Amino acid sequence: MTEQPERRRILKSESLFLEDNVYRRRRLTDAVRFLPVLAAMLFLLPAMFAASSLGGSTALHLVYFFFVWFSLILIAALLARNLGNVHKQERPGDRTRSFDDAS
Amino acid sequence: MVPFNTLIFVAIAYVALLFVIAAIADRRARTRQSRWIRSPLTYTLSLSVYCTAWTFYGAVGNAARSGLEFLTIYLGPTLVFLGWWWILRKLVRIGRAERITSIADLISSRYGKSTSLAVLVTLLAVVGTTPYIALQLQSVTLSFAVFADAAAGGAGTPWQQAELNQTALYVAVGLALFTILFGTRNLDANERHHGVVTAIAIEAIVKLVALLCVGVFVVWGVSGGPNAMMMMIEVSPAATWQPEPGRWIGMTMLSAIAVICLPRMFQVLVVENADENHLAIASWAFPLYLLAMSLFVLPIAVVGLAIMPDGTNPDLFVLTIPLAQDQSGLAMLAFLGGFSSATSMVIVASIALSTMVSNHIVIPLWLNIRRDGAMVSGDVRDVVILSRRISIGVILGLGYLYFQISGGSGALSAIGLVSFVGVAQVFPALMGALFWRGASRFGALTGVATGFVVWGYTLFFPAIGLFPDAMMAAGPLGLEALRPQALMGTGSLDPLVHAIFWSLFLNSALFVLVSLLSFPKPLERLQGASFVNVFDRSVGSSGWAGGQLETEDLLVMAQRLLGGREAQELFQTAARMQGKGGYLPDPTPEFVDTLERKLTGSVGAAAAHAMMSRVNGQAAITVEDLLAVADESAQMLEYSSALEAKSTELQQTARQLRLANEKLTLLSVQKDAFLSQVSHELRTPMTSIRSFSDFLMKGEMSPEDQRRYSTIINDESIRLTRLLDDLLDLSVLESGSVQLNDQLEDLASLIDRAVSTVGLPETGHLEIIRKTAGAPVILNTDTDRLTQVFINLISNAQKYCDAAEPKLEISWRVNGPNVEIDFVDNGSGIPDTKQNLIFEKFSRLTNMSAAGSAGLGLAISREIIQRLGGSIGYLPGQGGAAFRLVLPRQRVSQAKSGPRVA
Repeated sequence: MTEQPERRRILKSESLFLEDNVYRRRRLTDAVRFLPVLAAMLFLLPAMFAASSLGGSTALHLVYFFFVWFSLILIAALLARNLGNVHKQERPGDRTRSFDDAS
Repeated sequence: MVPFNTLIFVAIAYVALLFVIAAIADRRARTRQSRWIRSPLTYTLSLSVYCTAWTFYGAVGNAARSGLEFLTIYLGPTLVFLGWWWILRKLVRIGRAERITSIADLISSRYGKSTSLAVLVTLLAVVGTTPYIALQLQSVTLSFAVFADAAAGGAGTPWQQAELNQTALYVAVGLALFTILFGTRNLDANERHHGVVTAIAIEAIVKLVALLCVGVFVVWGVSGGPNAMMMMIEVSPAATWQPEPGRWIGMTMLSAIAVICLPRMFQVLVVENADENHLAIASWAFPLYLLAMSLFVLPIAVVGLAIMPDGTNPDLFVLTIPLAQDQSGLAMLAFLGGFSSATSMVIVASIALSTMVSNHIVIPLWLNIRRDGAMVSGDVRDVVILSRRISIGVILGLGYLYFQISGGSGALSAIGLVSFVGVAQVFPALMGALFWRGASRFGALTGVATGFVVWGYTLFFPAIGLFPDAMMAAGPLGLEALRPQALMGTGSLDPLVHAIFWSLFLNSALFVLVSLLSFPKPLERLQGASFVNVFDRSVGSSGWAGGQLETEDLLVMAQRLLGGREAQELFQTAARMQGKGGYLPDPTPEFVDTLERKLTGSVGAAAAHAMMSRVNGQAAITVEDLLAVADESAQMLEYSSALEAKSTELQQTARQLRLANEKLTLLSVQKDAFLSQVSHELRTPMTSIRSFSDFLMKGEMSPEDQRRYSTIINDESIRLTRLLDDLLDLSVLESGSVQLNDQLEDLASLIDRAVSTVGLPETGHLEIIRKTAGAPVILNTDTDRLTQVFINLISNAQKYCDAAEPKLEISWRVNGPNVEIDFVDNGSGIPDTKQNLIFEKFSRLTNMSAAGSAGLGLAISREIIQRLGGSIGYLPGQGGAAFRLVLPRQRVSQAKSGPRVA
């Protein structure tokens, strides 16, 4: 346990920090790619299983769809924002931000 | 109640307001003042052209008929935008990098600038969009009718078809005027329309606010809060959750595809995109907009079904509910919302379509017709603008015609879906364009054409009731397998799903198959690579970013080609003629024309035209252009290499002249030095002769002294004579007027003669070693002169060799036609720095004037050897002073008359 603070400090050292950043951006883009797959599943599944646990109630389905929809938008907004931030940190003033690196 | 005239007035005032906004935005965009116009917010709002009157009115109708199914129309686009990283990002990047002007342009560019493909996609877009425009006219007309009826208080007769037609005509004409004014105001290189986009963003806000207000009124004003609303939904006949999985998935997919492929969506999404980063924000902001738009749709439908009398058109609940509740202000707002939805769709769609029609159909045709005539490049621009204006008119005319013929039939949403399936036929080719390098032009053509035909057969013609009932039921010519809505016996499918499945399936299958089997042209492969690998290119290469052509770009290009000063002068003059200051004139046709001609002068016609089109963003560069450019470059290369050869020659001549000049200068210096040396050398003996003769004249001295002085005088005179002889000799040799007498003689005997002449036995302290191998060497040359050289070299060794036991080794060998003779002594030799001086006149290395030589020996030797056609040089690294003579055994007589080498 006594080594813990020491170690953390090493991890936060300058060179490792950039590496972290690149890694983080890669995973962020992975998340951005995965999001529509998740969305498709959440949007399409209720129709596949008509007699779902929500039990055919239109009102409940309405709530379900809008809840899922809004949550996805929220996640997308957070992802887009972080993607921009990570990008900005990594290359300060190097060029205009564009999300092309991980392709 | 709202008087009908008030409604008309409000509608016109609203249009006027949009007009002003568009005009201001246009002006601001031109002066690059407004950040707002290019903000991500405007971009996101402009994307709302997806939500047309079909969405505004029709979604409620749809919800009233099929419950939650209306959601699919919004969920599809949500999927696409949440997944922007996959498709949209690439689409936008390609659109910017390749300066794409429409979806037809993108498809045709990708598949090798194929005109046939561009025409096909354009045709598909026009056919698919016309009913959609008709739909907008219908919704606006119907909403007018609702107000007219309400204003009449139910007393008058409801509007008949004639009145509807008339209204639709007015609306169509008004929209055409608006679109022409702002859509074709100027030919922007990037096909961007800041004014229009801004107006549409405003309309997006209006329609969202309108729908939200109606929704809030319905939930809180009519049904009494969210909970009550939920109860109403539960019991409503409209809304039972019985989704048909095929239709649900099919429609979600379809609307996802449509949001990419619809010409108007492509226009705002890709063409009008001002900054790629806006897409990242739109990826969540646009779904949010869609969510807000659909939030109250089901409540409005449910309340409408509950409170409105039976037989009321559910498509117009948004208007009729507020009217029925005496909320005329709200109704007016709702009307404006619907009006906004309809007008924004029609404006953007007709701009997108007119771009396609004019770029891919009218202009190629016009150029073909004009091919024979004189080509004045300036007037293409006018033709482009004119053809766009006409295209807009024609497209709206078609929409109106369709509206009149169909008689406003069918539920709104049905027509919308038919359109969706039509434009979706571009999707397989589009995906191939973005992700598959192997996709070929033939594949795309076959796929799109097949999809187009199948769509017409299974959906479009049945929908507009073109096929007789018998054919629908029994198939054409009684072929059951070909029944339009039950191909291959798949009649159990929903007609829409049936059409989606068959058209897209056959489309994709043939696209892939034909692509696999065909072989693309080089340009196709080139374009394929640059599209699919668009992200491999650097960000900087994405063309003329910022979207301003523009004159500045032209100036940059012109400066490169014409040179800075001339280009700036040209631009300044043009600007002054347009009444502007500075260096940037407007890119008027005249100016562009002048510039192109100017550039033609410096880079050739084809290259100039290609470059100008590139900067102008109008024409695609064809392979022929490239070939022409290559040809011209080759010619210029040839010319420039000839120039280069010439200039090399000139450089050589100049170098020779410079050398000659240096030599002359040097010679003159040498001559001065020589003269001063000669006078100095002459003066020393003369001085001693004079002084000793003075003594003798005075007498009064012993006879011994007299004899001594006389001897000195005699010696000095001899030395003087010898010096004069040498000078004479040298001058004769140098002037080339020396007479050479060739004779045959053995080299060894020549050396013997030289050694004996020097008179070694007397002095006796230089040992001469002769080294030779093989047969005696017989020379045919001026042997007397050669002996003189030998004497010189031997006596030099005698005088200067500083070894304790001086030795001179003389060796010779035959080397081809020449004989090499080396004289090597064992002294300390001559230092490196002096080696190149020893052959110069008066170049005694030390002041050993006592040696009795004026330092002319080696100079004379060199002259002689050169006369004899050989060379003499100092041979370093032999352990002492060493000279090598190289001499032809048979003197070439030409050497006598040859040019004199100084």
